Amino acid sequence: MKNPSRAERVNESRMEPGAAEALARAGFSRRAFIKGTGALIVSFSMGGALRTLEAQRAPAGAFGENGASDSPPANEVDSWIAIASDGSITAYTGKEELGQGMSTAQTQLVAEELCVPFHSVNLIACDTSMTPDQGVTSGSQSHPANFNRNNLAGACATAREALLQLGSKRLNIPADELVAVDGTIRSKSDASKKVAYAELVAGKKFDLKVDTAAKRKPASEWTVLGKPIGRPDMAAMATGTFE
Amino acid sequence: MSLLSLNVNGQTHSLDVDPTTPLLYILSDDLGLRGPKFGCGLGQCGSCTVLVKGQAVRSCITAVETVQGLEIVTLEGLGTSDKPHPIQKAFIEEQAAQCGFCLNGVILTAKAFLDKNPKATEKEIEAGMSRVLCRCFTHTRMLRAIGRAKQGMAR
Repeated sequence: MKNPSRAERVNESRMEPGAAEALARAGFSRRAFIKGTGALIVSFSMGGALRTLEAQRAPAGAFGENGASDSPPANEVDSWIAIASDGSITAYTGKEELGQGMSTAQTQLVAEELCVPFHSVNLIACDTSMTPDQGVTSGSQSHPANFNRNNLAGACATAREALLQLGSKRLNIPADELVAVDGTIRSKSDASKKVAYAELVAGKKFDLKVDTAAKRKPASEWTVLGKPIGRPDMAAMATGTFE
Repeated sequence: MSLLSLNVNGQTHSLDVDPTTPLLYILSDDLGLRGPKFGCGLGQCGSCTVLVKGQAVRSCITAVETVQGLEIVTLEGLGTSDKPHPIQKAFIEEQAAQCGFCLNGVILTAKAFLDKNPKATEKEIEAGMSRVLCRCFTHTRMLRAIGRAKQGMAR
Protein backbone atom coordinates (compact mmCIF):
# COMPACT_ATOMS: atom_id res chain seq x y z
CA MET A 1 0.00 0.00 0.00
CA LYS A 2 1.74 3.14 -1.20
CA ASN A 3 -0.34 5.66 0.68
CA PRO A 4 -2.02 4.00 3.64
CA SER A 5 -3.20 7.21 5.22
CA ARG A 6 -5.12 8.13 2.11
CA ALA A 7 -6.51 4.65 1.72
CA GLU A 8 -7.52 4.73 5.34
CA ARG A 9 -9.33 8.01 4.90
CA VAL A 10 -11.18 6.71 1.89
CA ASN A 11 -12.15 3.49 3.58
CA GLU A 12 -13.04 5.17 6.80
CA SER A 13 -15.66 7.25 5.07
CA ARG A 14 -17.04 4.22 3.27
CA MET A 15 -17.06 1.82 6.14
CA GLU A 16 -20.40 1.31 7.77
CA PRO A 17 -20.44 1.47 11.59
CA GLY A 18 -21.56 -2.15 11.81
CA ALA A 19 -18.66 -3.30 9.66
CA ALA A 20 -16.15 -1.38 11.74
CA GLU A 21 -17.58 -2.90 14.91
CA ALA A 22 -17.44 -6.39 13.47
CA LEU A 23 -13.84 -5.85 12.50
CA ALA A 24 -13.05 -4.64 16.00
CA ARG A 25 -14.79 -7.65 17.56
CA ALA A 26 -12.75 -9.92 15.36
CA GLY A 27 -9.64 -8.31 16.83
CA PHE A 28 -8.53 -6.34 13.81
CA SER A 29 -8.01 -2.66 13.54
CA ARG A 30 -9.18 -1.01 10.38
CA ARG A 31 -5.62 0.00 9.70
CA ALA A 32 -4.34 -3.56 9.99
CA PHE A 33 -7.18 -4.74 7.81
CA ILE A 34 -6.30 -2.29 5.08
CA LYS A 35 -2.60 -3.07 5.33
CA GLY A 36 -3.02 -6.76 5.15
CA THR A 37 -6.13 -7.19 3.08
CA GLY A 38 -4.63 -9.87 0.86
CA ALA A 39 -3.52 -12.06 3.72
CA LEU A 40 -6.58 -11.40 5.77
CA ILE A 41 -8.93 -12.72 3.14
CA VAL A 42 -7.19 -16.04 3.54
CA SER A 43 -7.25 -15.97 7.29
CA PHE A 44 -10.91 -14.93 7.37
CA SER A 45 -12.01 -17.77 5.13
CA MET A 46 -9.87 -20.21 7.07
CA GLY A 47 -11.45 -18.92 10.24
CA GLY A 48 -14.87 -19.66 8.82
CA ALA A 49 -13.86 -23.14 7.76
CA LEU A 50 -12.33 -23.90 11.13
CA ARG A 51 -15.39 -22.65 12.96
CA THR A 52 -17.50 -24.93 10.78
CA LEU A 53 -15.24 -27.88 11.52
CA GLU A 54 -15.29 -27.03 15.17
CA ALA A 55 -19.07 -26.91 15.16
CA GLN A 56 -19.26 -30.28 13.46
CA ARG A 57 -16.82 -31.88 15.84
CA ALA A 58 -18.02 -29.98 18.80
CA PRO A 59 -18.85 -31.80 21.95
CA ALA A 60 -22.52 -32.19 22.50
CA GLY A 61 -24.54 -29.06 22.75
CA ALA A 62 -21.84 -26.81 21.46
CA PHE A 63 -23.27 -25.94 18.08
CA GLY A 64 -23.71 -22.52 19.60
CA GLU A 65 -24.28 -19.48 17.53
CA ASN A 66 -24.70 -21.34 14.26
CA GLY A 67 -27.33 -23.72 15.51
CA ALA A 68 -31.01 -22.99 15.70
CA SER A 69 -31.64 -22.24 19.36
CA ASP A 70 -34.82 -24.31 19.53
CA SER A 71 -33.31 -27.44 17.93
CA PRO A 72 -32.92 -30.50 20.15
CA PRO A 73 -29.65 -30.19 22.09
CA ALA A 74 -26.85 -32.34 20.68
CA ASN A 75 -25.67 -33.48 24.11
CA GLU A 76 -28.90 -35.35 24.89
CA VAL A 77 -29.33 -38.97 23.79
CA ASP A 78 -33.03 -38.34 23.20
CA SER A 79 -32.17 -35.74 20.56
CA TRP A 80 -30.71 -38.51 18.43
CA ILE A 81 -32.60 -41.70 19.21
CA ALA A 82 -36.08 -42.86 20.10
CA ILE A 83 -37.25 -46.44 20.59
CA ALA A 84 -40.93 -47.07 19.94
CA SER A 85 -43.14 -49.61 21.67
CA ASP A 86 -42.95 -51.89 18.60
CA GLY A 87 -39.15 -51.87 18.87
CA SER A 88 -38.61 -49.70 15.80
CA ILE A 89 -35.88 -47.12 16.09
CA THR A 90 -36.13 -43.52 14.97
CA ALA A 91 -32.83 -41.73 14.62
CA TYR A 92 -32.40 -38.00 14.11
CA THR A 93 -29.48 -36.42 12.33
CA GLY A 94 -28.35 -33.02 11.17
CA LYS A 95 -26.42 -34.44 8.21
CA GLU A 96 -28.31 -34.62 4.95
CA GLU A 97 -28.48 -37.12 2.12
CA LEU A 98 -27.08 -35.47 -1.01
CA GLY A 99 -26.57 -38.54 -3.14
CA GLN A 100 -23.35 -39.37 -1.32
CA GLY A 101 -25.11 -42.11 0.65
CA MET A 102 -25.10 -40.43 4.08
CA SER A 103 -28.61 -41.59 4.96
CA THR A 104 -27.60 -45.19 4.28
CA ALA A 105 -24.31 -44.88 6.17
CA GLN A 106 -25.93 -43.21 9.19
CA THR A 107 -28.68 -45.82 9.24
CA GLN A 108 -25.97 -48.50 9.21
CA LEU A 109 -24.22 -46.74 12.08
CA VAL A 110 -27.36 -46.67 14.21
CA ALA A 111 -28.21 -50.28 13.40
CA GLU A 112 -24.66 -51.35 14.26
CA GLU A 113 -24.23 -49.48 17.52
CA LEU A 114 -27.73 -50.32 18.76
CA CYS A 115 -27.53 -53.95 17.56
CA VAL A 116 -30.78 -53.87 15.59
CA PRO A 117 -31.60 -54.85 12.00
CA PHE A 118 -30.89 -52.17 9.37
CA HIS A 119 -34.53 -52.02 8.29
CA SER A 120 -35.83 -51.33 11.77
CA VAL A 121 -34.15 -47.93 11.75
CA ASN A 122 -35.96 -44.91 10.39
CA LEU A 123 -33.65 -41.94 9.91
CA ILE A 124 -34.99 -38.38 9.97
CA ALA A 125 -32.56 -35.81 8.64
CA CYS A 126 -32.22 -32.07 8.91
CA ASP A 127 -35.57 -30.95 10.16
CA THR A 128 -34.12 -28.67 12.80
CA SER A 129 -37.39 -28.52 14.70
CA MET A 130 -36.84 -32.18 15.61
CA THR A 131 -33.23 -33.00 14.74
CA PRO A 132 -30.04 -31.49 16.16
CA ASP A 133 -28.87 -28.57 14.03
CA GLN A 134 -25.48 -29.65 12.69
CA GLY A 135 -24.98 -26.79 10.29
CA VAL A 136 -23.91 -27.57 6.76
CA THR A 137 -23.46 -30.97 5.15
CA SER A 138 -20.28 -30.56 3.12
CA GLY A 139 -16.59 -31.12 2.74
CA SER A 140 -16.53 -34.80 3.72
CA GLN A 141 -17.22 -33.69 7.31
CA SER A 142 -20.34 -35.74 7.99
CA HIS A 143 -18.44 -38.90 8.83
CA PRO A 144 -16.04 -37.20 11.23
CA ALA A 145 -18.99 -35.34 12.74
CA ASN A 146 -21.37 -38.20 13.32
CA PHE A 147 -19.18 -41.29 13.48
CA ASN A 148 -16.99 -39.92 16.26
CA ARG A 149 -17.53 -40.29 19.99
CA ASN A 150 -20.07 -37.49 20.14
CA ASN A 151 -23.23 -36.87 18.22
CA LEU A 152 -25.05 -39.74 16.53
CA ALA A 153 -22.54 -42.50 17.24
CA GLY A 154 -21.95 -41.36 20.81
CA ALA A 155 -25.68 -41.23 21.45
CA CYS A 156 -26.13 -44.76 20.10
CA ALA A 157 -23.28 -46.13 22.20
CA THR A 158 -24.63 -44.36 25.29
CA ALA A 159 -28.09 -45.76 24.59
CA ARG A 160 -26.76 -49.31 24.20
CA GLU A 161 -24.92 -49.10 27.52
CA ALA A 162 -28.06 -47.71 29.15
CA LEU A 163 -30.10 -50.57 27.70
CA LEU A 164 -27.60 -53.05 29.10
CA GLN A 165 -27.98 -51.45 32.55
CA LEU A 166 -31.77 -51.45 32.31
CA GLY A 167 -31.69 -55.08 31.13
CA SER A 168 -29.39 -55.97 34.01
CA LYS A 169 -31.92 -54.61 36.50
CA ARG A 170 -34.85 -56.28 34.78
CA LEU A 171 -33.19 -59.70 34.37
CA ASN A 172 -31.25 -59.47 37.61
CA ILE A 173 -28.04 -60.42 35.81
CA PRO A 174 -24.82 -58.34 35.97
CA ALA A 175 -24.45 -56.11 32.91
CA ASP A 176 -21.11 -57.64 31.92
CA GLU A 177 -22.82 -61.00 31.52
CA LEU A 178 -25.32 -59.49 29.10
CA VAL A 179 -25.14 -58.74 25.42
CA ALA A 180 -27.22 -56.63 23.05
CA VAL A 181 -28.46 -58.67 20.09
CA ASP A 182 -31.14 -57.96 17.53
CA GLY A 183 -33.08 -55.44 19.58
CA THR A 184 -32.90 -57.41 22.81
CA ILE A 185 -30.69 -57.57 25.87
CA ARG A 186 -29.90 -61.16 26.68
CA SER A 187 -27.70 -63.31 28.83
CA LYS A 188 -24.42 -64.34 27.19
CA SER A 189 -24.71 -67.84 28.62
CA ASP A 190 -28.47 -68.42 28.36
CA ALA A 191 -30.17 -66.96 25.28
CA SER A 192 -33.61 -67.64 26.74
CA LYS A 193 -33.03 -65.00 29.41
CA LYS A 194 -33.76 -61.85 27.44
CA VAL A 195 -35.79 -58.67 27.30
CA ALA A 196 -36.63 -56.52 24.27
CA TYR A 197 -35.51 -52.87 24.08
CA ALA A 198 -39.13 -51.90 23.59
CA GLU A 199 -40.05 -53.40 26.97
CA LEU A 200 -37.21 -51.51 28.63
CA VAL A 201 -37.80 -48.04 27.21
CA ALA A 202 -41.00 -47.95 25.17
CA GLY A 203 -42.68 -44.60 25.41
CA LYS A 204 -40.03 -43.28 27.75
CA LYS A 205 -37.06 -41.05 27.17
CA PHE A 206 -33.53 -42.06 28.00
CA ASP A 207 -33.05 -38.73 29.75
CA LEU A 208 -29.28 -39.09 29.49
CA LYS A 209 -26.41 -36.94 28.31
CA VAL A 210 -24.35 -38.32 25.44
CA ASP A 211 -21.41 -40.07 27.12
CA THR A 212 -18.27 -39.66 25.05
CA ALA A 213 -16.69 -42.48 27.05
CA ALA A 214 -19.46 -44.94 26.14
CA LYS A 215 -17.97 -48.05 24.60
CA ARG A 216 -18.15 -48.16 20.81
CA LYS A 217 -18.45 -51.44 19.00
CA PRO A 218 -15.01 -52.42 17.67
CA ALA A 219 -14.77 -52.75 13.88
CA SER A 220 -13.94 -56.43 14.27
CA GLU A 221 -17.47 -57.02 15.57
CA TRP A 222 -19.28 -55.05 12.88
CA THR A 223 -21.97 -56.88 10.99
CA VAL A 224 -23.75 -53.92 9.33
CA LEU A 225 -21.26 -51.07 9.18
CA GLY A 226 -18.60 -51.39 6.54
CA LYS A 227 -20.63 -53.95 4.61
CA PRO A 228 -22.16 -53.19 1.22
CA ILE A 229 -25.89 -52.65 1.46
CA GLY A 230 -28.53 -51.44 -0.96
CA ARG A 231 -29.57 -47.85 -0.54
CA PRO A 232 -33.04 -47.69 0.99
CA ASP A 233 -33.88 -44.62 -1.10
CA MET A 234 -32.99 -46.28 -4.41
CA ALA A 235 -36.36 -47.79 -5.30
CA ALA A 236 -38.15 -44.51 -4.65
CA MET A 237 -35.69 -42.66 -6.86
CA ALA A 238 -36.11 -45.15 -9.69
CA THR A 239 -39.90 -45.02 -9.57
CA GLY A 240 -40.43 -41.27 -9.18
CA THR A 241 -41.74 -41.47 -5.64
CA PHE A 242 -38.75 -39.94 -3.85
CA GLU A 243 -39.71 -36.78 -2.01
CA MET B 1 -56.86 -20.53 -21.09
CA SER B 2 -58.49 -23.47 -22.78
CA LEU B 3 -59.74 -26.86 -21.83
CA LEU B 4 -57.31 -29.66 -22.71
CA SER B 5 -57.49 -33.40 -22.29
CA LEU B 6 -54.29 -35.16 -21.24
CA ASN B 7 -53.75 -38.90 -21.06
CA VAL B 8 -51.09 -39.48 -18.40
CA ASN B 9 -50.16 -42.92 -17.08
CA GLY B 10 -53.42 -44.36 -18.32
CA GLN B 11 -55.61 -41.70 -16.76
CA THR B 12 -57.42 -38.92 -18.58
CA HIS B 13 -57.22 -35.45 -17.08
CA SER B 14 -59.24 -32.41 -18.14
CA LEU B 15 -57.32 -29.23 -17.49
CA ASP B 16 -58.09 -25.58 -18.04
CA VAL B 17 -54.65 -24.20 -18.86
CA ASP B 18 -52.73 -21.92 -21.17
CA PRO B 19 -52.10 -24.22 -24.15
CA THR B 20 -48.51 -23.00 -24.50
CA THR B 21 -47.58 -24.03 -20.94
CA PRO B 22 -44.65 -26.45 -20.87
CA LEU B 23 -45.90 -30.00 -20.33
CA LEU B 24 -43.48 -30.35 -17.39
CA TYR B 25 -45.25 -27.61 -15.43
CA ILE B 26 -48.61 -29.30 -15.93
CA LEU B 27 -47.24 -32.68 -14.85
CA SER B 28 -45.48 -31.27 -11.78
CA ASP B 29 -47.76 -28.48 -10.64
CA ASP B 30 -51.22 -29.58 -11.77
CA LEU B 31 -50.89 -33.36 -11.59
CA GLY B 32 -48.37 -33.47 -8.72
CA LEU B 33 -46.05 -35.94 -10.41
CA ARG B 34 -42.52 -36.20 -8.99
CA GLY B 35 -40.82 -38.23 -11.70
CA PRO B 36 -40.14 -35.56 -14.32
CA LYS B 37 -37.71 -32.96 -12.96
CA PHE B 38 -36.89 -29.40 -13.90
CA GLY B 39 -33.19 -29.42 -14.73
CA CYS B 40 -32.02 -26.89 -17.29
CA GLY B 41 -35.40 -25.80 -18.63
CA LEU B 42 -33.87 -25.72 -22.09
CA GLY B 43 -34.30 -29.29 -23.23
CA GLN B 44 -30.58 -29.91 -22.88
CA CYS B 45 -30.13 -32.11 -19.82
CA GLY B 46 -32.96 -34.64 -20.08
CA SER B 47 -34.17 -34.71 -16.47
CA CYS B 48 -37.71 -33.66 -17.55
CA THR B 49 -38.09 -36.55 -20.01
CA VAL B 50 -41.44 -38.26 -20.45
CA LEU B 51 -42.59 -40.84 -22.98
CA VAL B 52 -45.07 -39.61 -25.56
CA LYS B 53 -46.35 -42.51 -27.67
CA GLY B 54 -43.27 -44.40 -26.50
CA GLN B 55 -40.84 -41.72 -27.59
CA ALA B 56 -38.59 -39.87 -25.15
CA VAL B 57 -39.67 -36.23 -25.16
CA ARG B 58 -38.31 -33.29 -23.15
CA SER B 59 -41.33 -31.99 -21.36
CA CYS B 60 -39.79 -28.65 -20.35
CA ILE B 61 -39.81 -27.45 -23.95
CA THR B 62 -42.98 -29.22 -25.09
CA ALA B 63 -46.10 -27.07 -25.18
CA VAL B 64 -48.92 -28.98 -23.51
CA GLU B 65 -51.29 -28.42 -26.46
CA THR B 66 -49.03 -30.45 -28.75
CA VAL B 67 -49.49 -33.65 -26.75
CA GLN B 68 -53.20 -33.52 -25.92
CA GLY B 69 -54.90 -36.84 -26.44
CA LEU B 70 -51.56 -38.64 -26.87
CA GLU B 71 -50.39 -41.42 -24.55
CA ILE B 72 -48.00 -39.88 -22.00
CA VAL B 73 -46.04 -42.06 -19.59
CA THR B 74 -43.90 -40.71 -16.75
CA LEU B 75 -41.48 -42.56 -14.50
CA GLU B 76 -44.33 -43.25 -12.07
CA GLY B 77 -46.26 -44.87 -14.89
CA LEU B 78 -43.61 -47.51 -15.57
CA GLY B 79 -43.77 -49.29 -12.25
CA THR B 80 -43.88 -48.87 -8.49
CA SER B 81 -41.43 -49.56 -5.67
CA ASP B 82 -43.23 -52.84 -5.03
CA LYS B 83 -43.65 -53.73 -8.70
CA PRO B 84 -40.90 -51.98 -10.65
CA HIS B 85 -40.64 -52.22 -14.42
CA PRO B 86 -37.68 -54.42 -15.48
CA ILE B 87 -35.63 -51.36 -16.35
CA GLN B 88 -36.36 -49.76 -12.97
CA LYS B 89 -35.51 -53.06 -11.32
CA ALA B 90 -32.19 -53.13 -13.17
CA PHE B 91 -31.34 -49.64 -11.88
CA ILE B 92 -32.26 -50.62 -8.33
CA GLU B 93 -30.20 -53.81 -8.53
CA GLU B 94 -27.18 -52.02 -9.96
CA GLN B 95 -27.70 -49.14 -7.46
CA ALA B 96 -27.23 -46.90 -10.46
CA ALA B 97 -27.72 -43.42 -9.01
CA GLN B 98 -26.14 -41.03 -6.63
CA CYS B 99 -28.35 -38.01 -6.12
CA GLY B 100 -30.94 -39.44 -8.50
CA PHE B 101 -32.06 -36.15 -10.00
CA CYS B 102 -31.28 -37.20 -13.58
CA LEU B 103 -32.56 -40.72 -13.09
CA ASN B 104 -36.00 -40.01 -14.53
CA GLY B 105 -34.48 -38.95 -17.85
CA VAL B 106 -31.92 -41.73 -17.86
CA ILE B 107 -34.46 -44.50 -17.25
CA LEU B 108 -37.09 -43.21 -19.67
CA THR B 109 -34.58 -42.45 -22.43
CA ALA B 110 -33.10 -45.92 -22.00
CA LYS B 111 -36.57 -47.48 -22.05
CA ALA B 112 -37.51 -45.72 -25.30
CA PHE B 113 -34.14 -46.62 -26.81
CA LEU B 114 -34.25 -50.30 -25.85
CA ASP B 115 -37.86 -50.65 -27.04
CA LYS B 116 -36.71 -49.48 -30.44
CA ASN B 117 -33.29 -51.17 -30.38
CA PRO B 118 -33.65 -54.33 -28.30
CA LYS B 119 -30.38 -55.74 -29.68
CA ALA B 120 -28.31 -52.60 -29.34
CA THR B 121 -24.60 -53.03 -28.68
CA GLU B 122 -22.86 -51.30 -25.78
CA LYS B 123 -21.53 -48.65 -28.13
CA GLU B 124 -24.99 -48.03 -29.57
CA ILE B 125 -26.47 -47.72 -26.09
CA GLU B 126 -23.75 -45.24 -25.16
CA ALA B 127 -24.54 -43.20 -28.25
CA GLY B 128 -28.27 -43.42 -27.57
CA MET B 129 -27.78 -42.15 -24.02
CA SER B 130 -25.24 -39.47 -24.85
CA ARG B 131 -27.69 -36.56 -24.61
CA VAL B 132 -28.78 -37.33 -21.08
CA LEU B 133 -26.62 -35.61 -18.50
CA CYS B 134 -25.60 -36.92 -15.06
CA ARG B 135 -23.52 -34.57 -12.97
CA CYS B 136 -22.69 -37.23 -10.39
CA PHE B 137 -20.86 -39.23 -13.08
CA THR B 138 -22.77 -42.41 -12.40
CA HIS B 139 -22.56 -43.40 -16.07
CA THR B 140 -20.68 -46.65 -15.61
CA ARG B 141 -23.32 -48.10 -13.31
CA MET B 142 -26.11 -46.69 -15.46
CA LEU B 143 -24.76 -48.36 -18.58
CA ARG B 144 -24.43 -51.58 -16.58
CA ALA B 145 -28.07 -51.23 -15.51
CA ILE B 146 -29.23 -50.60 -19.07
CA GLY B 147 -27.28 -53.66 -20.21
CA ARG B 148 -28.96 -55.70 -17.48
CA ALA B 149 -32.36 -54.30 -18.48
CA LYS B 150 -31.68 -55.23 -22.10
CA GLN B 151 -31.19 -58.84 -21.07
CA GLY B 152 -34.30 -58.76 -18.89
CA MET B 153 -36.54 -57.09 -21.46
CA ALA B 154 -35.38 -59.44 -24.25
CA ARG B 155 -36.64 -62.43 -22.29
